[in-house]
Amino acid sequence: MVSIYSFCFPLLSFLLADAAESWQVSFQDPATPIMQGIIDFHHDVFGFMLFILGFVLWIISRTLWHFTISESYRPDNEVVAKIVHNSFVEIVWTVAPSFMLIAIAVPSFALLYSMDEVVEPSVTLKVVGHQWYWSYEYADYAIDDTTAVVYDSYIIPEDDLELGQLRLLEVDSRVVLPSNTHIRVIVTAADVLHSWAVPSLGIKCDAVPGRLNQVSIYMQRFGVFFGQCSELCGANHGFIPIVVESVSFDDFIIWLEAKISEI
Amino acid sequence: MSSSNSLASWLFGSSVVRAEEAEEEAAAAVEEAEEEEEAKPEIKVQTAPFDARFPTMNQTKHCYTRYNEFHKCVKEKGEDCEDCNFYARAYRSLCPSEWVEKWNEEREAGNFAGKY
Repeated sequence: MVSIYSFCFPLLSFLLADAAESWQVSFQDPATPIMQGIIDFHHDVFGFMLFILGFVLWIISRTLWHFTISESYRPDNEVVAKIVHNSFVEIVWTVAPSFMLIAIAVPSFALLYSMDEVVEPSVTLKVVGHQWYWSYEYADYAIDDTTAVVYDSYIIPEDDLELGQLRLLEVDSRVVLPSNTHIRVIVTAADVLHSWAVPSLGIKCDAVPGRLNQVSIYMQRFGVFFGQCSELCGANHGFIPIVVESVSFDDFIIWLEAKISEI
Repeated sequence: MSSSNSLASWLFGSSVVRAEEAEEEAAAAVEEAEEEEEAKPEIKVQTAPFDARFPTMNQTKHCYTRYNEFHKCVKEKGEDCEDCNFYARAYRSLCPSEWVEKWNEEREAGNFAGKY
């Protein structure tokens, strides 16, 4: 399928690829409020962690410095000789960490419960994991049980890649979804465990045979987002990528209409 | 028709109205549309709604319940009743097509485990 962005991808792929990058340390660029929330929470916790790390390293190094044998036997070193117990210190180093834990827990629970917020979805996408490909179903406009838009999505082998495409990440049929729309994604599997993961959207959802797992996404921008299967599922577990293309609602309808007419 | 279109565009935005018109063309292409009624069927952009009976991530029972509710509706109200369309659309949106095929085959063989 030729997307409307395909003309610029080979030239500008370094700008537009919401995909893993070489030597990457940080998160991929967020496209949903959930992923933005995860990144913000990560920054909160990381700040606390750095403070705790610095404080603990300082205390340990000061302790080691003052309580070496040579220091403790110095006659003028009153501090070392007199420290045997201190209830006040013990209370402080119990209460202060509990405050820090509360400070970490507040944004954590805010994010966790916001992810469970129920918003009426407008589109439902079904994702079925197979060995070793994904299949996608858009059945909102199916007239009967057999006329849903269903298609398989296989990895593009390395030999068939075009210039600018990403190795191990490109697929022959992408998932096309509208931006700025509440979408319900139902994930399941047909054989063994898989996991449908797209980091830019903040999604990682296990695909369990016999179970339907629901996640909701709301993409705030256009783009093409890449992910990979995240649950060991056999020999080709590393070769089942996911590509989600976020387009305008009009373009989504045009694409869906074209898919329906192919049935 | 134009007044309902302008109402729809006020409620949902002009892109949705165009989407509806595109969807209507697509639906007409798929169906062998005998229903060339004067008022075109208003196809809203919608999917299975949130069901408070199934608020969590596991929607397996939601799909199965909608499928059973559809057949219960068909049994109680008859095959051509419009009310059953809601349940039909809901289970088609939620349930993987393999599951629906398997259940339909079980029904035909008389092996379906549900009540209706």
